[in-house]
Amino acid sequence: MTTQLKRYDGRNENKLRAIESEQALLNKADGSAKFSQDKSTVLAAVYGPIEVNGARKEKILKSYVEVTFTPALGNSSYIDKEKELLVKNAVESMILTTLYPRTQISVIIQIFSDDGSIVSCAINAACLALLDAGIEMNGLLGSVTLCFNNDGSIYLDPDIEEENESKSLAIYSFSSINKNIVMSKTIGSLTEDQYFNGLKLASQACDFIISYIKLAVKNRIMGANSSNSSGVDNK
Amino acid sequence: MEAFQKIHPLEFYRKFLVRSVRPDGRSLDDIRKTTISTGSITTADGSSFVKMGNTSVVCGVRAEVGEKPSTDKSKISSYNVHENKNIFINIELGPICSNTFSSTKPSDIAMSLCSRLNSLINRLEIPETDYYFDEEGKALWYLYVDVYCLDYDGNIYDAAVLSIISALKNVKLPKGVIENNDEYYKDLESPQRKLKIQHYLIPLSFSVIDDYILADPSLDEEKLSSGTINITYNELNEICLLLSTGTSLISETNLKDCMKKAKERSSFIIDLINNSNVDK
Amino acid sequence: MSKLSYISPEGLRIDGRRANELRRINVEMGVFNRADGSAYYEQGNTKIIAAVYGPREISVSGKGVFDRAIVKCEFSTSSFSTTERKPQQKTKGDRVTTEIANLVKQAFESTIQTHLYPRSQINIYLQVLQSDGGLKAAAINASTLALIDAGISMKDFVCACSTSCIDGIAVLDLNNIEERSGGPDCLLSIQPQLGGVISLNMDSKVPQDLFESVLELGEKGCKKIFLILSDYVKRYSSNLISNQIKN
Repeated sequence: MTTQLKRYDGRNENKLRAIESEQALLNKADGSAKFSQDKSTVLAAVYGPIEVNGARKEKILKSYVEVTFTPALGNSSYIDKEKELLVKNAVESMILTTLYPRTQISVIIQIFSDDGSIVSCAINAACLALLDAGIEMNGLLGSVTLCFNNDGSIYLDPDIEEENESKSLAIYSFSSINKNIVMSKTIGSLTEDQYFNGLKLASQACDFIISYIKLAVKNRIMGANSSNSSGVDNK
Repeated sequence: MEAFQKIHPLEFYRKFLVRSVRPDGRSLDDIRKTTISTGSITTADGSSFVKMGNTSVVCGVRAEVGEKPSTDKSKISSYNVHENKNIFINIELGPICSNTFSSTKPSDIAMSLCSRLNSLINRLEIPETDYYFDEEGKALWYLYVDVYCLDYDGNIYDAAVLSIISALKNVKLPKGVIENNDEYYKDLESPQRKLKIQHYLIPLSFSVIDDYILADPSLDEEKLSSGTINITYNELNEICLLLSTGTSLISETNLKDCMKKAKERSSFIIDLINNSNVDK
Repeated sequence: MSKLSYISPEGLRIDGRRANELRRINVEMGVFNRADGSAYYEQGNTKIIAAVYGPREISVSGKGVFDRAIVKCEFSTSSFSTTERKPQQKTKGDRVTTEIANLVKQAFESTIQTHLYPRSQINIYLQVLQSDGGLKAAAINASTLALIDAGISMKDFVCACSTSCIDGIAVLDLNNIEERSGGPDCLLSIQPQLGGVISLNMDSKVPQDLFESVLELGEKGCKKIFLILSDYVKRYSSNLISNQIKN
């Protein structure tokens, strides 16, 4: 048994941070959810299905999915556009867009605080918000971020310090339907073995997040407290 | 037949894909003819022109002198330690390349491409001494890379990556001299030096249509696709960027196939970049 | 203090040309696939690309004219085209680019047979890759070729050339250093075969007795450019036709 170098907050390599979530916080939005992974907090709001606000974007057989990503500080820049695209692709794969033709489903992501793994947090929040809005989906979405360090170690769910010191990052998103990848992005250089190792870890972690989401929705519907928190570690 | 292509483009394509070909005659794995030429723009410190099939991209690099940034950590909160902060990339997709782009508002594709290219190129390992303006490094060179797409026929990401890496390898910086602490002079007499970029980037993008994966998609194929995979390797076969997006789910075996195809392209691209940058 | 002499006592300019010599011109048509017509035009170190999209549907439906096509032009310089880098925000929508765009637009509005394309629009896009003087003239010449490549009906070519008067001598086709000398900068664009003047723009002052010779030199320059361009167009078209016949 090797002595593992503890991370800054004392976690194991494979441990997710404490997850908290809240649903239906906003009155006007069709669905909303707040998702936090320790200090990374994201609020997602869903409006839809609504009328498309520009006739050019309207699709005849499907719904048009729009995602807006607003950072915690400052205006949205081109970096946020890329994050928007990632969330949009993940979310669009799951929504049954053919059930809502000629409409638009807007997902608005507002970052409250960014402490690493923010895109994953946003995708998880979006999934919860879509459930809250009652939009039909193919399955549930979960997403995690992994960081690969110079010494070869792989950290699950890094915070901002770990992200800044890592050699590379990988964001994975899986669904509850099958083992295929919904969305994946890497930043920095890593070997193929590292990527596929990370894939396995991420798949398990996403399963955990998906079961957390199920639990959160179940508790809400069954009438328990409207906010849930869970600090269970991943094995 | 042209009417069929316009009315039902997806069905038209499917008829070809079933036989493992594409309308332009390529197989599902064939990549369009790629050419790179460098150094044609003399006002830029480095330039390149890349053509992949019909997609044409021109890239120019300007070097400007700036102060060494302060190492105050409180200001740079979201910078990775491995990122070099001296290269800035800007990509323009204007109406000249396609009628779908507007000249005033940058399109979503342009912005996300810009972000992706910046994060890709900023992780290239370039020794800090390469950026030194003078010998001690009191001032640094900042490289502004501008990429303009002139003809948009799909797979702009690959063309842009190739053009940036060729242009960076083409950059020639003059020797710099600092006098009196704030006067910067370029010593035009002594020979210019190149940047020591040892790395190569080998990009390859795929489009997913139904269950078929097409390498190097053209514009028609991109429009019909339900997913995109961008893979970029470096010369050590490390993944520099892997992006798998779209509405279809990708299986691990498909991803491994794509990676294999991308690696096969490695030696061809490395030769192409080297040949285009042979000292003339 | 020595003043930079633009014309040496032997009559040679900074780049070794005589006063009435044009720089070397290199052109190519049909360079891009997506645009309806495209051209690459090089005059000395000035390199410019023109792309034409049209005739096509009007983008803003209110602006259409029922019996004619409208011509729109957009001009943009690359950040690396000049000796000092100009970031993109500063080059779009500023006065110089709008002026050049308008110049090209007006030149072709009168030359294109717009009554053949009612209720449609023709867009000309110009991208400068390298700038070394004579930009406006190069823009007009490049657009002519791109319009021909797009197959748009025109009454004639439009050829343009810049001239000036330095040290009392009429000079043809200025490069960047000569343009910045502060002397007059005269742009003449004509329809070479029909013989009409499309536009004549001039900055600064030219003495009245020298004006005629400056204008004459400009006309000669435009006619020379016309010969080069029409020669290329004939070769390009005959290549195109012979390729068609082969297939």
